Amino acid sequence: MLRRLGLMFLLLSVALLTGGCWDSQELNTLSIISATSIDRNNGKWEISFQVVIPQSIATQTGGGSAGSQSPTTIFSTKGRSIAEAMQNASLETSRKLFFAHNSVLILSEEVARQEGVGEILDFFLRPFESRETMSVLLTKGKASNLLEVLIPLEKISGNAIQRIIDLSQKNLSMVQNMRLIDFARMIASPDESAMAPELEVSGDLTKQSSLDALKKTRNEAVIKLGELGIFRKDKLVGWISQKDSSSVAWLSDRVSSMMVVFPCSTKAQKEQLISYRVMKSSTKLEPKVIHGKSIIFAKIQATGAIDEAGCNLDLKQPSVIRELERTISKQIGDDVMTTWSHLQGMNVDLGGFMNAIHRKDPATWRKLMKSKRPIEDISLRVQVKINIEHTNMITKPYSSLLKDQKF
Amino acid sequence: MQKIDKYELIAMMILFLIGTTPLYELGVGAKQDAWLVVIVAMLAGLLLLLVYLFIQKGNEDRNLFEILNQHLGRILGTIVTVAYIFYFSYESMRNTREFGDIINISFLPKTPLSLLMLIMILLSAYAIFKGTEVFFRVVEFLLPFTIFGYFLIFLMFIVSKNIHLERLQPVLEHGIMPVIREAIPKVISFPFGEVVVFLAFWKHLNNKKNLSKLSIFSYLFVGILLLIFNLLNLTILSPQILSITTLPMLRSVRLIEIADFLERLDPVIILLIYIGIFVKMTAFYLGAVIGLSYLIKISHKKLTIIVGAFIYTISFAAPNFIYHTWIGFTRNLMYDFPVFQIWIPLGLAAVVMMKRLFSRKRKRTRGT
Repeated sequence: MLRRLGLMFLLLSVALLTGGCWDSQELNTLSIISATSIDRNNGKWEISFQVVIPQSIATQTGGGSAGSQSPTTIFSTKGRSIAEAMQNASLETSRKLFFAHNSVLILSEEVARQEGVGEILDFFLRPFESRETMSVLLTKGKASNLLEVLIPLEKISGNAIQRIIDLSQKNLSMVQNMRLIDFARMIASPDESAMAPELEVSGDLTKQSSLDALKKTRNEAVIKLGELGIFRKDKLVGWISQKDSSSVAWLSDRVSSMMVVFPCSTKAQKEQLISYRVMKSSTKLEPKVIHGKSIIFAKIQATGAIDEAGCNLDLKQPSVIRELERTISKQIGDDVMTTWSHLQGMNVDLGGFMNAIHRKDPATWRKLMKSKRPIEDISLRVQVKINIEHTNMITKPYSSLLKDQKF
Repeated sequence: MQKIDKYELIAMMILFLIGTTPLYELGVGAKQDAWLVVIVAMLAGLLLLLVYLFIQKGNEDRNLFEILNQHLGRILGTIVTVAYIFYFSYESMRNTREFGDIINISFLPKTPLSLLMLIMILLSAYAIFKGTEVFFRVVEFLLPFTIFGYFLIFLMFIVSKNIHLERLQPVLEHGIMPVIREAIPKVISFPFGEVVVFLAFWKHLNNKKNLSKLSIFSYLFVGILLLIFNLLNLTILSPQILSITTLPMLRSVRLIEIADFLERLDPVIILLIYIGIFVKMTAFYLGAVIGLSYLIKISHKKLTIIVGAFIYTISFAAPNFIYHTWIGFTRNLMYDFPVFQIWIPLGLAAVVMMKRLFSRKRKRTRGT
């Protein structure tokens, strides 16, 4: 009997002890953050959070319809450190900020240029709750503005932004979704410069931040991806254009799908263009030392199809196709070389050149690293091999049918 | 007399050696060559294992403490036994404290550490209460789940495309010396040299013919498993990020994102880690209990409570987790643990060998 009582007591006490009541978190006491932005204001960090309002997204399915309440709300708080700014949010929110679903981190150019991102990365890598898979983005203006823009079709714009990046990474390849952990790794890597895509608002921001904007069919403002921000150490040093970022994608073997637009022939008029869609590609960097000089041979290979042809060419002829392949190769090669000279001018390494040398030939790498601008001591040789697999559902360009028509 | 089956021994050795190890990046001081450190330490540890097996072979029906007293004499034997009891308790406490702090860092930041550790010690004490045989059977039961769990995570790393093998290059950038310096004695002491505690259990194996084969097989199996997870962390996180990460495996697992819904798998890895920690801390705890039972003749249950209370008390010795890991990695692994894992067993093996030689000689002289 006494044994049983003792056992009962033990079971009860275990049930009490293992309830985990210290760390209970009820859903209705949390405010779930979907996006975060960081600005500097009068020497203080200014953090803005986009918080999801559960009531307004729970009712209807399908996003973007103009309900009575905005789907998200934004808090801005200030502090001497990022953590302090976070803590100060408790002064104005009724619920505990919950970070685990934050999918986007937007930094303003000012922060990235002057403060550097070291402290920010430390803060976001440290807590258990914060996810290292969130996307890092830059913006030229005030970062918190981007959180205000309502995006049609989507309720929570933080998630929408991440989907925009994902999609353009898949279809355009020039943008890369920079996960926080990849960004941190690139910044920390001795051989790599980090980069992050720019997000911008085009149009009238103030009108698109009200729910009334969603009542119209044409948006007053949209969020879109822009240039590519380049870092040296942990500081932003410059931007490169979208054209350059495509070349960077070629060099770093990240092209999964891309449209290459080029003139039919060198003699043809400028308006006569052909669009070539890359479907598969691979790039190999091979560092070599020839006569004491480091040379990187980049071998780019791509397979794709003609998506649009605006000039009169007999696309049935292998010789014509071969000519086109040569034109595309030359254009990609030239683009890559232009970008290469830009990168050399900025003294940044986006293509993984130093990494390639370091991995293959540490001795040369050590020699190069002694120089102040090691990238300038390397030369690049590009070899592009393009394959046009097919021309889709029509062969000769449609315009060839019009050539001899009188009426 | 308690009996252990061969499968139970294999399961025990595997889970014991997994322990907390996947959580840490062994040999991260050698940067991208950390995986070579594991290989070097594994091979060096294999030599140690052979020494332990040699000691056991000569004294088939005795455990570590009986062997110590048999060969070193009463006074020295008792002193070394007491030292081993303290060593085993300390190792058990290290695992307890580590897991308590990991839970505090990750899932339950506000739950008191004292309570987390109390629950763990009670669980281990319960297993030991039931005796060596029961504990080994529990471990045999846990093995398939653990191996399956780790295998699943391994698969998911591949599917989620987080692995970048090129991050392992350049191999041996600064030569072989940094690798060896990292491996010896640090990675030998943790986890490979910890097998020394099995000297307290081996005598229970029902068929001792297979002892060496089974032990070496399980040891190599774990070695390869640890090597794979070491490689995974390196290729997923890169040496730079690894060098500042508290719990690398936990971080790597959080990067798994498959099809927009299979993500945040950290609870799975914590569960797997706990299985390892439970086995390891209980094994050391049991080692200490067996040692004490040799010195003091009181009931098994009382001994369990005494040792458990002792382990629980010393688990508060470190003022914080930082001090705890610092003293573990810079002091214990370098200077303290090798005494118990390398020097004393080597000395003991030497004594055993000398005795065997002398007795053989004596036999021979008597024969002529």
